[in-house]
Amino acid sequence: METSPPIPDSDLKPTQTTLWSRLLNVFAAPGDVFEEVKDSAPTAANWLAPTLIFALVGVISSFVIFSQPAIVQQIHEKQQKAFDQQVSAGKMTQAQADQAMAMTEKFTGPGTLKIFGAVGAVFGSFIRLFWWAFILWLLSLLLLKVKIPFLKVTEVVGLATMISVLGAIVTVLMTVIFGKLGATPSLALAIGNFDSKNKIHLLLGAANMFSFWQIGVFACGLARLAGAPFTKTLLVIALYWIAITLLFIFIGFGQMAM
Amino acid sequence: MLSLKKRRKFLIFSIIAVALVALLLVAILKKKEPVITVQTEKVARRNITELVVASGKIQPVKEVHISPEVSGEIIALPVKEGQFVKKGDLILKINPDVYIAALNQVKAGYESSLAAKDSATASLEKADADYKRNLELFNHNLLSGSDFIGFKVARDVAKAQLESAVDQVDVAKAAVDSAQDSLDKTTIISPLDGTITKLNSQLGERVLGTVQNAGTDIMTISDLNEMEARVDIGEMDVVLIQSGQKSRLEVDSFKDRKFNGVVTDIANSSEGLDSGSYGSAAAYSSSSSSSGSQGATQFQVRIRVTEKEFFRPGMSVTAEIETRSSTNALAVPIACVTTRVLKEKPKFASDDPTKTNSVSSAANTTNVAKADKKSNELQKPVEVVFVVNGDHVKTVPVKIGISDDNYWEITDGLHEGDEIVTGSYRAISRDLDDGKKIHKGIVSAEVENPQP
Repeated sequence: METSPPIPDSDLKPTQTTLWSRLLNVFAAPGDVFEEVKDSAPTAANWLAPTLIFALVGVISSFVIFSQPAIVQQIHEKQQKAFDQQVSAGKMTQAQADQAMAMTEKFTGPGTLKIFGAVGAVFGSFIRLFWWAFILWLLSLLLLKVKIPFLKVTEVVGLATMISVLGAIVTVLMTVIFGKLGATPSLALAIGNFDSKNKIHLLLGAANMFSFWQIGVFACGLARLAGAPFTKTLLVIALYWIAITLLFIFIGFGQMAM
Repeated sequence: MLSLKKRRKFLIFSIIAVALVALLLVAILKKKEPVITVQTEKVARRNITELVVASGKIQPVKEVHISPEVSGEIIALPVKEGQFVKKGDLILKINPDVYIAALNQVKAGYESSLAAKDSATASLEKADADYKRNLELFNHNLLSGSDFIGFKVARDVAKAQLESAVDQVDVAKAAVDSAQDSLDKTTIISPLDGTITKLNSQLGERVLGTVQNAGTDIMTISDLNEMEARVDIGEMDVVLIQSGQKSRLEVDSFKDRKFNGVVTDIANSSEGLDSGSYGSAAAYSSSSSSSGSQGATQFQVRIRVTEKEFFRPGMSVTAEIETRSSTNALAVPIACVTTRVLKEKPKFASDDPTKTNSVSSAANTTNVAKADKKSNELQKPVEVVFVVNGDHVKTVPVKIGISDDNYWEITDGLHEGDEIVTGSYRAISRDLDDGKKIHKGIVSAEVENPQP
């Protein structure tokens, strides 16, 4: 197994650009940013700052989205439809369904949704960071045959999270404009009535431009760290993303793939 | 001069910034309105038959309650409940001894009066002969006037006594007839062909006659060949009922059949819930009002059953009376019609223009009461339907006609082919209003039976 030639500690330089420069340059010149990350000493700010920014954007998004009456109504309508299906299947009576709906409306009011959304955004940000770092590290180890320090990969994933931050901001604005959940910058925009149980709709929803952008930035970062060709790393990461997306969609967790 | 790299960075950041600002502006300036998911249907023409449903009991058309006219002990009861009897058959015999004795007594009195009459006749003959003889003597001045007057008076007295005796004979004869009649009434025969549907008394019981009392209700004889349903209908619906209307009857004991019937009679006065005696003539035609009693005001309606079946009096029945029908009428599901308070009084194509003129002339007067009444009328909710207009709805006031279990007839306000909102109930009754944005969804039933 090849390992990336370790850079002696004496050769590790402190970062030459500021954190904000790195966070912004990842949009326009990710290669330069990751080259600097590769050559510099481990910097926790590279993954912590963007993760915290992503969490903050997630919290604000949750408050904005669940302040929309149309969004809350759609959530209640979905819940009502689920109960109606239970009644039609004979699993509960109409009276039970009405009671359950009343309880659900009480505990899924806008306030509750905001709180749960915010908490989920914070935890989700960190889980997402370390999950992608682990995957990239594993892909590099198994497929590229290069062992990269885990924290370096984490820094790459962290900086690339800025793409997701921009994607989250755009998603919130689109949700407010279109007035419906699932209004994302993806091929699902072409669908009039998005059905979360339709696998084709979910596949189209997963084809999000910011997801593709981020995969490209991951590939760039991995290529710099592993010393591998960009096309090879892009192929590896893309194949993983396709596989995991299809898996989530076909086992019923399609919303997570979007 | 900026290097190529810096220019590329500037371009990318500019694009991102412009896109974000544009999205932000659209999000802030766009009018937010909730979208309501609804189900829709097109207005179509249907045949609607208005039904009034009522429940009651099956009773015979002809039903006679047998009560004796004379009192006494029942000594013969040759019938039993459920037995068929013909007109003239013996059904009851009361002990005649008292009445025989009474008859004999008055017969004796009658004979005595006859004898008294004969005696009076003989006395008159004698007095008349004496008068005639003494008249001769008086005429020949052989008898004094005072003596002659005595004979004349005697004759007149005898005549009066004869008249009295004759009258006494008539009185005695009438008494004999009355006693004979009472004796005859101890034997009761059936007044009609029918079935004994109720037998209240037994052999040996003492019964009261109807001469001075209500009389003991001994039995009921009914003609079971002609039956009718007697149902109670509320005051709101009874105005729709007319004689001759057809009806479908469902008798609880004959679940798998429906019977045909025709309305024959409608009560003129209500009976309320207190009066429970079906077939009681007093309850049916009395003018006593029951509106003071608690409960719903109901009127009894009689429906002749046109089909023969072995009904028993008292069987429960539910009647569906076809009151009005409309053929090929514009119809909408009942759930579609709701009420809203409109800002303006609705105008219909079928409104009378002359009434509009009279209203406007009334409005010109200084009659404050009329103006107040008009403004109060505008506040009243009116029937409306929500018509789909693109991705919004329009509140359309409608005039409704008759209805059946599923559809309302629309007499004004809608056209055939208009797409209207049919669900959900919550949307129609609460959420929807003029101009609200909608989204056509699917009902739960369609989830199990998806349409191709």
